[in-house]
Amino acid sequence: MKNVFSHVTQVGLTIMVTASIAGVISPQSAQAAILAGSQIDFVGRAEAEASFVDFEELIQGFPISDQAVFALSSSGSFAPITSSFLSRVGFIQDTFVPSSPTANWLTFGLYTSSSSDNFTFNLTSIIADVSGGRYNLTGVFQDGTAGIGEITTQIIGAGTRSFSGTLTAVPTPALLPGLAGMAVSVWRRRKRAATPEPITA
Amino acid sequence: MNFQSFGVMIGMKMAIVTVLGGGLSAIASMPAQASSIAGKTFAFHGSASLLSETDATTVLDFLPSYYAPTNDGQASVAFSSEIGAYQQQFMLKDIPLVKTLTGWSLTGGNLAWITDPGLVTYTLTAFNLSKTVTGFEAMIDGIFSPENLGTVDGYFSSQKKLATIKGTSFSADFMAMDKAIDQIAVPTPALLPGLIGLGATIVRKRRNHTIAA
Repeated sequence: MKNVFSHVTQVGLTIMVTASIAGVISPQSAQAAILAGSQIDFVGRAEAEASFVDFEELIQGFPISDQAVFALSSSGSFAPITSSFLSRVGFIQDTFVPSSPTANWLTFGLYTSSSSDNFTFNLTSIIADVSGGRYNLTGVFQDGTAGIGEITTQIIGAGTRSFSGTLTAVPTPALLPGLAGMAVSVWRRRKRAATPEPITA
Repeated sequence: MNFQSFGVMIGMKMAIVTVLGGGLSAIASMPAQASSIAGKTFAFHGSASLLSETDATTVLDFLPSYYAPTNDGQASVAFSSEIGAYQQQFMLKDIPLVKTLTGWSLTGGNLAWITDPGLVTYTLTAFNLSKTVTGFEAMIDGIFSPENLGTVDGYFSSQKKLATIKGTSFSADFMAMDKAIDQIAVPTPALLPGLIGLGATIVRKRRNHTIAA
């Protein structure tokens, strides 16, 4: 009786654990991991200052009134973004420079029914070079893949200018310490194997 | 929820049609306004690649654009430009460059960079490209014809990936000026009050003349 009960509980737990794992993984596993080297190139309009970037509409009221970008070219995992006119339109948040980390800073796929062109870039840092108007970006895509890039615009005084930007997926830095650790342990094991066992009389 | 998003989609598609329609009518009305580019901003974007960073001579290669994926060198007038219509397409000639101490410069004399009778003709007289912390920047100088207008503060900018074969996006902003007066030309509407005043004076003089006779 007791055994049966605990067995049922175990099954229940297993189901719960499986369900929760699936719940955690499935939003990501619906889309394969972003390939390192994948590149997205976009353009838009912004009022770019040394301490703040105010992203503007592409054209009045279309298709979002403010904070829009338009993807010109893409490669690797980001290829679906340039598959249609609407999938090229992304949403980008105004930001202070330097910025505190911003979730969903740049989002593609908001205006299409397909999920294959859904990409989110969470901003970790945006740093202006000496003159402002040009920025280095670091962050993480929705599946944890790290991304780096830049936004550049024309420095011809105040006002709204056209800008261009690039984001590239790079191997996740979080994996590097793990790889380094693995290498060290392999090296240690080899060293140990190479050292002859002390002979005990 | 699906219905709602579907409705939004339809709304957006209608917006596109409206916008494109507006763009086309703007193109149609362009030639009539051909004499009014003085003091206006010309802004555009596209894709480009700097073929080599190390060679003594290289080329800034303009790549196919999103509307003409097979048409090499196609650029688009940016969304905000005062010269040209929304997303108007035009061709950009590749720019031959020579390496200098500070970067790269236009070589081989003036270049008929943009020759689009429906938009504008722009002859490049200087293109000085340099590397920045974030990518590349160039100072643009040239002449808009047939008005013979020079350039005020012309700039081109792009990202680090410009120096790859695949290239990246770029943007450019510059303003047409009147070299004859060496400042941004006064737009024609400013002349209208003067003309009206002149007309009024003539009418008054004539009336006085009639009364006197």
